[in-house]
Amino acid sequence: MLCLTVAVAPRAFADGQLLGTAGATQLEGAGGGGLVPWAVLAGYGTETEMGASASATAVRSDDYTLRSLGAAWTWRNRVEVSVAQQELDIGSLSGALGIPDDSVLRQNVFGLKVRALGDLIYGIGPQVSFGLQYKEHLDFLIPGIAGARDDKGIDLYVAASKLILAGPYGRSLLVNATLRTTSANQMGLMGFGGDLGERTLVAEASAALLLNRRTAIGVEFRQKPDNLSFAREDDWLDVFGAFFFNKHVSAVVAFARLGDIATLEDQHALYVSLQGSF
Amino acid sequence: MMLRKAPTWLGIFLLTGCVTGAPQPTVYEQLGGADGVEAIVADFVYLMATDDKLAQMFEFTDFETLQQHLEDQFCELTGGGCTYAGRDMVEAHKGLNMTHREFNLGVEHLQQAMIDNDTPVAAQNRLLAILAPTRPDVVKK
Repeated sequence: MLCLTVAVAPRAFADGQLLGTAGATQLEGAGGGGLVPWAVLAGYGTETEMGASASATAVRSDDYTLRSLGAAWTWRNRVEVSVAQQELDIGSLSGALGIPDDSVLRQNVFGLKVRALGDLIYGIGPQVSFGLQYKEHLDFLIPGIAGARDDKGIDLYVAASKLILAGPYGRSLLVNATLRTTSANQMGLMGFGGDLGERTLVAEASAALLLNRRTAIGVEFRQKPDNLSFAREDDWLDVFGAFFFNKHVSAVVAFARLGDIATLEDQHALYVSLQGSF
Repeated sequence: MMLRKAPTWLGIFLLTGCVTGAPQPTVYEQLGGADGVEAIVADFVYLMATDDKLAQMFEFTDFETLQQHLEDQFCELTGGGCTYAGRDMVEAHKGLNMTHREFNLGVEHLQQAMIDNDTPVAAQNRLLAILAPTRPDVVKK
């Protein structure tokens, strides 16, 4: 009886995928790069296993600090469920607005992603996944004053990822393209919708070159909506390095150009993320 | 403004891979020719044969024959001019009901065997890219 149960249940400790192919955890908690959700699911589980990951990320820009804690669970390399809490320290902005200095903007993100077809490595086509991110803002006062319409929002996206095993210089190259429909201002940290628009279709893209089995370098681009005339926002761009110590521990460091955020101009940021996965 | 710049960055990043120099040696040569492939296959088979998680795959395996078949096959597929005379991939893996997890364990052992033999990363990836299309013929048979 016990044997039967073991044989049927997915393995508890998933390590069936190749090192690095789980990617990292993006800011909103989904498996992906740093800024962009990819078609890959969190963790290293294959079709007979479960996978999971937990991550801690800090992004320090000229005037802000963003912290994000995320966790994700994947069932049989088919469904990924994720949760993230983001907390934005608005330091300099508090001074400018004359509000208490310890003000933070927090939001929760609940994510669901389903692998629809294809495989990251094998076969001709890309791995394609559909995803949803439900976001709820917990400190809506400032976004509300800035003109955001709503304290909740839903992002829907489709992502396609492919790893070309022997790409440039014989290095493996991962390419990802994501299309997202969203009403979120600054990912949702500045609320949802505004006087300039509600829902927008945005494009996101990533490319990563695996220098060896453990090390990757790459770039990411994330187009952003621009809904608030009071606080315009810009597209995001980063260059990153990722190191996979093993299938359980990985780290990502990135330099990001985030543009204007909540009236403070031209933010450049250092992005650091640590991740544990199973 | 930023929207326009991003694709240029990406474009440069992707295009650098297209610059080619002198004609490349065959992947077989990059793997170290006959001696290189023999050493890689020997380590590869050893790593698989001693992996408890793969034990049931090799219950009835004659490892000497397996080694010879893998050498011939790698040689043929990488431009070494050999002829693989063993069973086709579907036939050779019939009844094993190999999972993706087990297939990937094999890939990792092959990677490790190449690392242990100081195979250049590019040659490692080129061999894996050549072998990857066999997966549908190997798993779940």
